[in-house]
Amino acid sequence: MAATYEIIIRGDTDAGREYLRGFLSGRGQKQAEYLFTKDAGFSLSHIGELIKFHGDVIHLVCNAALRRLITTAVASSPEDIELEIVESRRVVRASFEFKFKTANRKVAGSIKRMLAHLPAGSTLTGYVPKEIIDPSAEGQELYSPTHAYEFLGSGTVEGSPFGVKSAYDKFHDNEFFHCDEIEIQHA
Amino acid sequence: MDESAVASPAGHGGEELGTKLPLWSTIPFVGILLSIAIFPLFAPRWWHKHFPQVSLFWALVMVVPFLFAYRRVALHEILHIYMLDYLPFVILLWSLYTVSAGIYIRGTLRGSPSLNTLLLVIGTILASWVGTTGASMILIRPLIRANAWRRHKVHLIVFFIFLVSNIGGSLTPLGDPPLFLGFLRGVPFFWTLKLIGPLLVVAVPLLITFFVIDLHYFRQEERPEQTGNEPVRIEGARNFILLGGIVGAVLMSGMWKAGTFDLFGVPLKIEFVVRDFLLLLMGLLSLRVTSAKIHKANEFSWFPIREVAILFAGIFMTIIPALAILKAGADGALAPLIAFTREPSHFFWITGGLSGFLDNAPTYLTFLNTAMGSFFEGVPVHEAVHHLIREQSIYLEAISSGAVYMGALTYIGNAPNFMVKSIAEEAGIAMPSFFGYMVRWSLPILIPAFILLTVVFYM
Repeated sequence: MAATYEIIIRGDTDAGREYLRGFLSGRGQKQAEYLFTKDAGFSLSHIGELIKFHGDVIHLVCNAALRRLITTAVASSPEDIELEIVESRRVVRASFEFKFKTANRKVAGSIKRMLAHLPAGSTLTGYVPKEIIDPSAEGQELYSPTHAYEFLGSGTVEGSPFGVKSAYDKFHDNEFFHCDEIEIQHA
Repeated sequence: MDESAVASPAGHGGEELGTKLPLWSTIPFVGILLSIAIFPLFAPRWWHKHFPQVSLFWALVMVVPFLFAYRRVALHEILHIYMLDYLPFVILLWSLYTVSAGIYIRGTLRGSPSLNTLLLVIGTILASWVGTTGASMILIRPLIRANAWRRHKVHLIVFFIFLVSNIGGSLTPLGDPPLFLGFLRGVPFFWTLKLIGPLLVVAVPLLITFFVIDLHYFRQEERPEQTGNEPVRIEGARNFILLGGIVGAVLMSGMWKAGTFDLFGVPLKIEFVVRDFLLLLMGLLSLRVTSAKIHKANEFSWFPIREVAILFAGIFMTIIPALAILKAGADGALAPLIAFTREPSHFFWITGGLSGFLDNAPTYLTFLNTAMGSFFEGVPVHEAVHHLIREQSIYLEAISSGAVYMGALTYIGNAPNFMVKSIAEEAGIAMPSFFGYMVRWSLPILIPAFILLTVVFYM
């Protein structure tokens, strides 16, 4: 995984983000090359962080080259925004846990395909699928509902923050999945 | 307890037995209801295989000491409830289920807010005449098929459960099992039509809410190209004639007075026996005239009726002490409950609240007996019901609407809820969890409707 960093910047969240977007766009950087992680499925609410970075903070994930550019951007931020880098840490990996369940074979097929073709930069670990075929549960029930077919499972997707975020978006959009927030591990 | 001290069995009032029975004698009843509520959620596959043993277990826990303590009186009570309640109850559900399973709507329907709302309106009306289970079985698949192309479908199923699987079944004794049990106790067939006012107060806002939600999602959908244009047609329409026969048979049994005869000491009304034979006949005729293709399309099997027959055998056995105690009113072990439940709104919310989590048929019976114990302590059942209708009709309305409507609060509130959820899941719809259904749908949508109903009718 190419070196990736999480930068935590203190300052007005909305104005700061817009400023950084504008700054990076002006230098030809595409939005796909960095991630504002708040409201993007990343877990940011550790008690330690809340105490350490009280007030408005911007969480941003980017590669090493962009990190230098962002440092410049923050240093030259206008007074009314007042941005300040409070932490910059190298990211070892990102991951999220998921589980799913369906009683429909077609949906099960699409889940299998999805898990077999994860976005680049993400891999599956601890994946435990379970397929239950129970002919005694064919047909309808009123008081003891069970399905003749069920496909369920759980696991973890891990990798680079960008790859994991891409997988998270796909899983999160799928109503048969339940995903925990993305956790970032630092060096 | 000395058997001779119990002079009058519950079938003829039950008040003396009710004054003697301790509160703990209702434990098997509570146990079987909680088993039906809890096991499908936490151990569904175990429950699917072992519910007959669980039902038998609770029945034995009740019946062995009951027979030992009260001997002939206990035997009479058991025969009484099985012959007068259980058998007619199972026969009615069997015939409605069998005949409904012979009807299948085929053809291409394209789900839009107006069509979906129309299907819900039809289902709400139909539920009172073919039962909530029958109406759910007939309409859930066409609704799912019509909306197969849509991404957002959960709300369709949820409102279907609200209206077709529950609330719609309130207008006749055929609509929902509790109302049939009321009918067996002397509530006139057409009395339940009085619930049209409460039905409209709840159903109209729900239908409007549904239309708005469906329109919201519909506008977000990408419309696919129309594929297939098979004309819509109803297969097995002859079964509607048989449904008419079922309605007629039940109606006849409420109007014709042909006398009684004794069987094992239980007085049986001739018109009730004739009704049950006619119901069996309608079901058998349906099996004869319905093609295997329709049964296959409806995934017809006897399993749901087996569930009803086995579980209600346990419920009716274990409910005997609870009914007798409640019937004894202030002299019974449940006097505090009777003292607390005084206002129509109390009956509506308590009957309903419990119906949301326990099966609504025994809950209805419990609170019907509570009302009779409150107002007409010691009066025989049929007479007490007539008094209740004449003098305190609002209480019966509150009990009936509470039992029927609030079955929609949870998946376990009414039998068809689970069936509809299961069919939807097998069709690839990600239904919410037990608590997800409550938190996101039933509580925020139904509770305001029930508060409105309470303000308009029961305060």
